Amino acid sequence: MKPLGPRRRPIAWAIFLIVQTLATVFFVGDAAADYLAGQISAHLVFEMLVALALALGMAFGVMVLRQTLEEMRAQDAALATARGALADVIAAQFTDWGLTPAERDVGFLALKGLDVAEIAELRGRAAGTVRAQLTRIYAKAGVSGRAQFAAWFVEDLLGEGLDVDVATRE
Amino acid sequence: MKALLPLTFALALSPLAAFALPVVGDVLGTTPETATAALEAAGCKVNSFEPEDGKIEAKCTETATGKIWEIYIDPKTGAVSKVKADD
Amino acid sequence: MTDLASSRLPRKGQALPSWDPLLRLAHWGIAGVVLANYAFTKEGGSVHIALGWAGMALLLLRLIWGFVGPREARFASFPPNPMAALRHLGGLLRGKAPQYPSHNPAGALMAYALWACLAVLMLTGLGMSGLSPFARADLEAAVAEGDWSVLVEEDGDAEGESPYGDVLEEVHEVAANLILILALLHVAGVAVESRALRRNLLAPMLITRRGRKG
Repeated sequence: MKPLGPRRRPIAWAIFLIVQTLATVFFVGDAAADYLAGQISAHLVFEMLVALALALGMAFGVMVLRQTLEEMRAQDAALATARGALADVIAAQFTDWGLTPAERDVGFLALKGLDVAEIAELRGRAAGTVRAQLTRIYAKAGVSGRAQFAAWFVEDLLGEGLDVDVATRE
Repeated sequence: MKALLPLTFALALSPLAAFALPVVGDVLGTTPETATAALEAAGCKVNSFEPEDGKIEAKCTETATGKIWEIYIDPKTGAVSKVKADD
Repeated sequence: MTDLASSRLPRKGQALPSWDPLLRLAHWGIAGVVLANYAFTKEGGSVHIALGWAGMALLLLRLIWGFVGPREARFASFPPNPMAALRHLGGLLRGKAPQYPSHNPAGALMAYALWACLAVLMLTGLGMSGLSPFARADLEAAVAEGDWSVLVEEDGDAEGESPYGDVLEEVHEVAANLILILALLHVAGVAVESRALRRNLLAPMLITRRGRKG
């Protein structure tokens, strides 16, 4: 069975918690009725222990779900911050390179992976125009093409992070 | 036994029994078998028995007209406690 | 100058509530149970009682969640405040009201009103059917088998008669009808607010909002 993706886990756990709660409440009700009917017996004691176990399970389930949700939200917040930060880095660099407003838009779209035809269609311009804009962008950035253009920012993000033994690859 | 007389009298009078509606106090029986038999003899075919407010609610269809009745029977004495038309 | 970047990135701080899965499931679960018991199940029957117990379990869970759940689910995030509710409704009329990360004040009052009525409904139901969820089912099963003696108590009184039965039944019915009216008001309120303020208030209660708070 494939493990649930992190997005699905809170929903699955919530469903499970509901099932647990139903079981607990039904069982406790039945045990309480037996208790009030005065039939004290080993059977009743056993029922009450089970009811207690179910209640504890339910409490545990509540804690786990709460934690899972918090973790997910922390991750989302971090991701949003990272995205925001990356966008800021890109915007600042474009300003540094002196890109025109149109070149900024084209540059962002290129970084998002759209090809010339798609960028042209999105901006309502001719493909030739877009190609010319890209050429100017690369020139201003001092890169030789689209791959190096993207690599500029990837390298920035990686910083010291990538452990590649360049020397031995000569 | 006395209360059963009106029902058996009606049965004896006409083979295709017209429905003699049981009245409060008529004893139909404390088991489903006797109650079913008594009601069928009176011209009402039993559909179901259900617990309701401490009594047995017998739902039966009048054979002649198809009308549905709710007859409440005291489970201890077997006597009719309420008669109601099902709306 | 069009900054396409910001239009493509996730919008910052959309302040509509982001309801967690448990809250949403409890909401629709309770609504479904109440609707089923109001319109479809036989009053006092074993299915009616079982569904009532399920609703009670969901309500209990929501109560617990209101104390230990995520921030927007907690009662502290939407305290009952009639004055604020009136102000909010006034804002609706003017087409201008703030966004709340949890229930708005009017919605909050509605939630508490519904929960109060639900509590009354469930307690009166319990009062009529007893503390065991299975008692009625056992009774129905016995009678279906042909055993009528289960209805006869030892001391001669037929089981199931209670001096409070009529009162409980009346209150139960009144509570049910009140809930129906409140529920219709609630649906109308959500529709009106969504339209007046151009916000989709239904969506957060229905689907997980991806990439937001989750």
